[in-house]
Amino acid sequence: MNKQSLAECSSEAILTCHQYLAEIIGDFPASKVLEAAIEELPESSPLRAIKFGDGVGEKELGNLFARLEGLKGQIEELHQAFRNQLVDVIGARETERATERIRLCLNESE
Amino acid sequence: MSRKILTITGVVAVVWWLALQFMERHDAPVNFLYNAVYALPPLVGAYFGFRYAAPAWGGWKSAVGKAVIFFSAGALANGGALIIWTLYNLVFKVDVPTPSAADIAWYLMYATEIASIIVLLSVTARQKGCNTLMVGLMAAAVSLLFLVFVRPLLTGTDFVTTAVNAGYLVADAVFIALILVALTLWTGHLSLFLKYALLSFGLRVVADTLFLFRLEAGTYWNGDISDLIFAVSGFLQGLAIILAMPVAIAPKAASASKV
Repeated sequence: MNKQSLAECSSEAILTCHQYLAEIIGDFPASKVLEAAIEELPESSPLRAIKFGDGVGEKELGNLFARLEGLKGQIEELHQAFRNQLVDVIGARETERATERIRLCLNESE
Repeated sequence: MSRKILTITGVVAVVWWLALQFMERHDAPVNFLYNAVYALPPLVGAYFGFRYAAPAWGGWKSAVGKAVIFFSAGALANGGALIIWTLYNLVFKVDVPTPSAADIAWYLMYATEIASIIVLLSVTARQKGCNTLMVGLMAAAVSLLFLVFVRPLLTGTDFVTTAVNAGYLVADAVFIALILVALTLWTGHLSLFLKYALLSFGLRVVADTLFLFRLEAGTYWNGDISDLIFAVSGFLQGLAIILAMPVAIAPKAASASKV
């Protein structure tokens, strides 16, 4: 999946990526990775305001992505940042699998 | 394939140990060779870790890859230590001194295994509560093990021997405390790796303690019960690495939650 198609991913794709990562390392570290991705964004990004609490679950993630819906223009940066974090944690090969899964998920939802 | 090879080495180690129990002599070459036999499972684990598991996780470039490299290095050090131990007994035909080259390898094992878990924990390290819990657990475990097991060993041996032996138990405690914290955070596929690593080092505490007490009492012989527990611990160490190999997680588009 190239950068352009990543940019086309919706917020549900990030959630899919989070789920994939959670299957490997668990919910909590996966949330931490997402949180780190958000911190990687430029200081000026409104997405920086998003904070995770302890024990982030489906509901909290749902709220997060609901908020992201209103910030679609900023999503591309987040996707890239999340991918960078993913590579740092599980390596390029598994990140490719994760992004492949996102692609399949998006195709399914079309 | 990796599991089959590991299982074969594990079965050989158990059968060899059983055979030793029926022998009259406890200082035969087959006794001394036993240490090299049960070096095989951790060495097999290290091979598959370096060759397959670590590269699949991105090697040194990712946290999981780095953790697998460290853990595999630990298994390699464990196998190496056992080979060195065997060389002292079989080739040099001397009592293994303390400290010896084998001790250096085992200390290297602890350093790399602990580094492995710290790397995994670094993914979640920004959590303040986690750090507090980790430090608390480590302190509690170290203190408990020191009081229960190490203190009785402080009499009757010279300072260096006592320090080296006590160091093993303290390292066991630190490793177990760290891995317990990791297990509370990591619940996905890699938790299997952590669980078997925990089991391996849990047994290692038992084996280390038993070995030290039997050594002190002058009842230890190559191939006794503590060696069997070391062998099982080494097998689990190898198995942990093999279980850390990534599995293709099938696409679950249909089950993916929609926000």
